[in-house]
Amino acid sequence: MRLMLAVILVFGLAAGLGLGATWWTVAHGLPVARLAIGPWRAEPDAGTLAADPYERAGAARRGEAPLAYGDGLPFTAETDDSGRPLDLACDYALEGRLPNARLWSLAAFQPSGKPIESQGEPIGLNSANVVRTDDAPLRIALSRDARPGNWQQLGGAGPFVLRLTLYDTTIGTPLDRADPDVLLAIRREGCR
Amino acid sequence: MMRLLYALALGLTLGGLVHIATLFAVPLMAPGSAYDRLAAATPVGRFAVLPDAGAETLPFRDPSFVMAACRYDLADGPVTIRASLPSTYGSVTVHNRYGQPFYALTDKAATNGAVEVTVLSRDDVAAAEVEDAPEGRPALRIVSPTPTGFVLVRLFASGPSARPALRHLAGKASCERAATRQISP
Repeated sequence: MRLMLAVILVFGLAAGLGLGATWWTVAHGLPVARLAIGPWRAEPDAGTLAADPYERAGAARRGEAPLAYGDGLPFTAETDDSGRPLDLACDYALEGRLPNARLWSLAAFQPSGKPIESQGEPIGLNSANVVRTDDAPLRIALSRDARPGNWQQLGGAGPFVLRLTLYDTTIGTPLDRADPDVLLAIRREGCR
Repeated sequence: MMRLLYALALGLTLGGLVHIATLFAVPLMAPGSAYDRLAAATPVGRFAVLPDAGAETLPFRDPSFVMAACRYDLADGPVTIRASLPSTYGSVTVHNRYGQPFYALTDKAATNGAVEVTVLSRDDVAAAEVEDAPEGRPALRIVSPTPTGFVLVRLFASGPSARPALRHLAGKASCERAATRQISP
């Protein structure tokens, strides 16, 4: 009887821990990222054949075709600067200077990967359509009500993620001696 | 007491093994992987431009890009990919069956605005060496780690007005079976 209990304990523990750890890491990724700049996280390996098993499993689970590293490097933000999860019911102000890249783009997605639409078009700002001001950092407003400058409308409620992709960048390579300490600061304003 | 500790240690060790085994099995068994999603939307051997909206085809697609996808199957021989990449920004990436990219070219590598790559399986490498064309531009050949996979052509659209022309251009990319030459005995 004692032996039976021990066997059940061992196998129960093994299945619970093993499957639980797999489920959690595949859904959330590893808690540490190779590149973490403010709330932005990136894994330069994920777009190569040298991707680790966690990155492979996560991409397969999301059904995503990772961006090849020779193409670009995507940074994902799930929280604002103070660590609160991004919520569609809130207004956000993004501000910062972006590192050298041939091209960058900013997009908003639901956690499932569906693009978030703003007035019937997916939210998609990029270095070609953004408005810049002389001698001032780049400013982007994500809010319900219209703002001057770069504005994209948020609506509804629920969590979302932001993806900032730098195309043809040296970030993450040995050429880039120091990673920038800020990409775009994400500041939460009001919430409804 | 010792027995309980022993059972806990054994459980932890087995749990680690279960974790590793299941983690490696996820890409092989995940339903709705990138290849499966494209299988529902695109035929084998032909490029299809993915619709601008909708996550069903591929999640986390950059909305600033126009994307076309083609699935390949190397069972019947090598496949040649030809795509025009405008100098605004365009890329061709080759992904294996599990979605992992193993080759990428941007418009910087284009000659006359176009790129041409032949994807072959490991078994076809030797045959391809023999039938190397003596003339013409050097052929770019890459070996696919899996017998099936897909190719993505991504063209940067600076604004909505650029999209129709780019969609047309992306749709003109081809990934047909490579022309094989007869080797005379």
